[in-house]
Amino acid sequence: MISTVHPEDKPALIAAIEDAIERRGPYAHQYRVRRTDGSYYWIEANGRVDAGPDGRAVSFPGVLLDIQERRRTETALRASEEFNRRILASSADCIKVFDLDGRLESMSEGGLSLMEVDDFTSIRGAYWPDFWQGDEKAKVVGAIDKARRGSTGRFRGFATTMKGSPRWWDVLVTPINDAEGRPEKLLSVSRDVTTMIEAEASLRETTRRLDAILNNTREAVFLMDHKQHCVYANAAAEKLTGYRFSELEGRPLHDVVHHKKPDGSHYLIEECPIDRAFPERAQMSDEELFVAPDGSFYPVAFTASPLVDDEGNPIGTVLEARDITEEKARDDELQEQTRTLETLNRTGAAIAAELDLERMVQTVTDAGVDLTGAQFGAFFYSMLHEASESFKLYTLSGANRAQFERFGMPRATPVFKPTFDGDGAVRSDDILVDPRYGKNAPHFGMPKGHLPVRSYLAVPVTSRSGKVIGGLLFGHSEPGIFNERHEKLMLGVAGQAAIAFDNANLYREAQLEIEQRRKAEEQQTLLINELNHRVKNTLAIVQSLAQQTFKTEVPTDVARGAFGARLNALAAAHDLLTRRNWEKASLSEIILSSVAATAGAASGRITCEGPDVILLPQTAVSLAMAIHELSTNAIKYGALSNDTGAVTVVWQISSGQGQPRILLEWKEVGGPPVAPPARKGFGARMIERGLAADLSGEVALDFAPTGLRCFIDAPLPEA
Amino acid sequence: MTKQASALILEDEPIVAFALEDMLFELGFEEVRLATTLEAAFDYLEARAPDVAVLDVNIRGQRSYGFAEKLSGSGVPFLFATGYGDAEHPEALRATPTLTKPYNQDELKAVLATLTDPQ
Repeated sequence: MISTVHPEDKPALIAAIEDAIERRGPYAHQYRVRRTDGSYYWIEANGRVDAGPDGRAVSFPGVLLDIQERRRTETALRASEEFNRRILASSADCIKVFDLDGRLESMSEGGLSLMEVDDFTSIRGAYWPDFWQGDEKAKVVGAIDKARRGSTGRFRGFATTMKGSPRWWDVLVTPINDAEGRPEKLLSVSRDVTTMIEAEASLRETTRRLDAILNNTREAVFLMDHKQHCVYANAAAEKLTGYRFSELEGRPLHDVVHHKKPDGSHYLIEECPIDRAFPERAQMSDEELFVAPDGSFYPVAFTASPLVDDEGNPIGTVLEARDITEEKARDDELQEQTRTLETLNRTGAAIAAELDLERMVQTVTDAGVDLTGAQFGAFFYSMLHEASESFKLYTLSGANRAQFERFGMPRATPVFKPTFDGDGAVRSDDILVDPRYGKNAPHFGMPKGHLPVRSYLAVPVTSRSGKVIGGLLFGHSEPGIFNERHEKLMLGVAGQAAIAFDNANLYREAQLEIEQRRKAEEQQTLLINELNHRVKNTLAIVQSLAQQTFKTEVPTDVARGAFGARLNALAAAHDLLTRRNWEKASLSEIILSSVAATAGAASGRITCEGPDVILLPQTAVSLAMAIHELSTNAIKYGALSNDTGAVTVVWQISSGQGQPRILLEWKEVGGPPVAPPARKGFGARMIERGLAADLSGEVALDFAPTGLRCFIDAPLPEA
Repeated sequence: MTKQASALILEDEPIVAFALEDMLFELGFEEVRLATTLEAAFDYLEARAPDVAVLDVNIRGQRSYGFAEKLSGSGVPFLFATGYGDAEHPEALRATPTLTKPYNQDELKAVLATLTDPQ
């Protein structure tokens, strides 16, 4: 029998038999036996060793059982249990088995590791709720209760590991039922969710912060998806656009707030710089005009940034936007202020340096137009034209002179008078409805075709002396153009202009005075030279007179008397010419003056008659000297030497052929009989040759016995 | 002096002219012609050239320089007698001897001597 036993099982079988013999009792042993076909099969030998009275084994009653099938089932079962154990071991969760009171019976390998248990025996049989602290304990007790009653207990709780590491656990407690379906044990699966809990907390914190930022920032923030459809808009975005997020959601933002241009034309999304950020994957910042729900426009500053995934692919756009209406207004205001200051500065510098009145006033007028935004401006002098009673236009800006002059100049009407009276600025938003306007004939307002003025601003330009120099007038065809600021600016400019006027006038006066002084000096030099010349000529004449008077054949006392008389005559002629500025003298004046100087009281007996004839100074001197000689002769020897004689001097102009001639006759009557002189002296020489030469004519002396006569026939002097 | 028999005076002031005429006679001139206008002076020159001429510069508002140049061209020696003491003659006439009015006979004689007897 032993020979068919599997060689591996033989030693054990023999040992079992020997053991049984030794013990004298039942035995059981399993081993493999070879069949006749060579295969082995499991049998179990159950028997008993019966001993004789001597204690020796005498028999082996027993049975052999074929246990092939049983052995196979047991092997399968063992394999299944092993598998289950491995499943448990492979789980990362902490899997535990408790009795129904919650006392720990076993724990999976993963569980030991998670809970950081070095020695399971130290916690075997421990009451599970004791592993938890505070409020968590109650959750555990509750879950145990639930499972004990056949349902599933679940909770999330916090507990430390055996080594004190903090952990969050997601715990599931289920009953393990017996064959009758009643809970026999409890199974707990605890999963470590610490990382998840922390991530959730972190996410919550991030979300809370983002919400805090997005809901409190005054910057409008929009989020657009890859189709540029709005998927988010914060509170500021709703406030900016005037739309609720629900009205924007899922729609292209461009279509809602950016669909048209100020000219009303459609704004293609392809042209829109905001939407370019997405396809071009680049951040865009600029200013645009958004459309309000009522269709009006408002300016915004925006930044559009592409939103990309981890691989850098664009998946949407973040748009920040801000209403910059006020900023723009402030910027505009600032620019306006800057421009104003620059203009003022430039104007001030220009007119301070400008001494040319016209250029200065032009600069001021141009600056006024620039500063007030007027369409045209003008400066009028305050002095009135006597005939038209209108103010005089001086400079214009923004219009040409013809446009003004066609309609005549402003007059002292209620609109204009305050300006030219220096009563401060006149400003009207619409002069057409101004109570001061349209009160005067003939136009009762602006003449037809006048430059169209609605807005009107005028300021006086008043000199330091208080005199109103003129007025700066500005106009615009739109009403409401000029404000208080413009008025103040122009009053300032007018002040500068007044100073410049005063300066320019002072300068002009100074220049004029310098020029006058220069001319006076030139004149003086000329006069001194001329005086020198005349004095020398006169001295030459006096010297010549002396030379001709003091001749050896003439007694000295006679000559002295004649010389004195001749000097007197010369002086009288000079007196007369001096009174006439050495320009010209009339014939009758020369004769009368010479006669008066020579004849004294007897001059009343000399009568003159003839038309007025003008003589050059030199001719006048020659004539005066000739008359002196004639008069002297008449007093000494002729008609004036007695008490009854008389002299007539008659002349006339003959206007025959050629140049007119003067015919003059000196005629003495009533004197003693006349005889020709024995010797011709200076007098005859002066009369017959000197005067003749000077007049370029003929002079004849006729010593007629009835009285001396002197004839002059000469071309009428061209004076 | 006797060689200079003929003199021409251009002087628009008759009183002065007569005095000059007397001086020239005193100095031995046999003929003295007196012109009080430029026109007359040209006429006299045209008729007959004098041996010497005495010219006032300002003749009724006109300068006698034109006539002076005519004299130069005709080879007639001449001098100026003028009241304009420091007046400058034109370039061509700058060297012309010039008497400043008033002058006396001795001064006239000295200047005439330089005309006829150049050094």
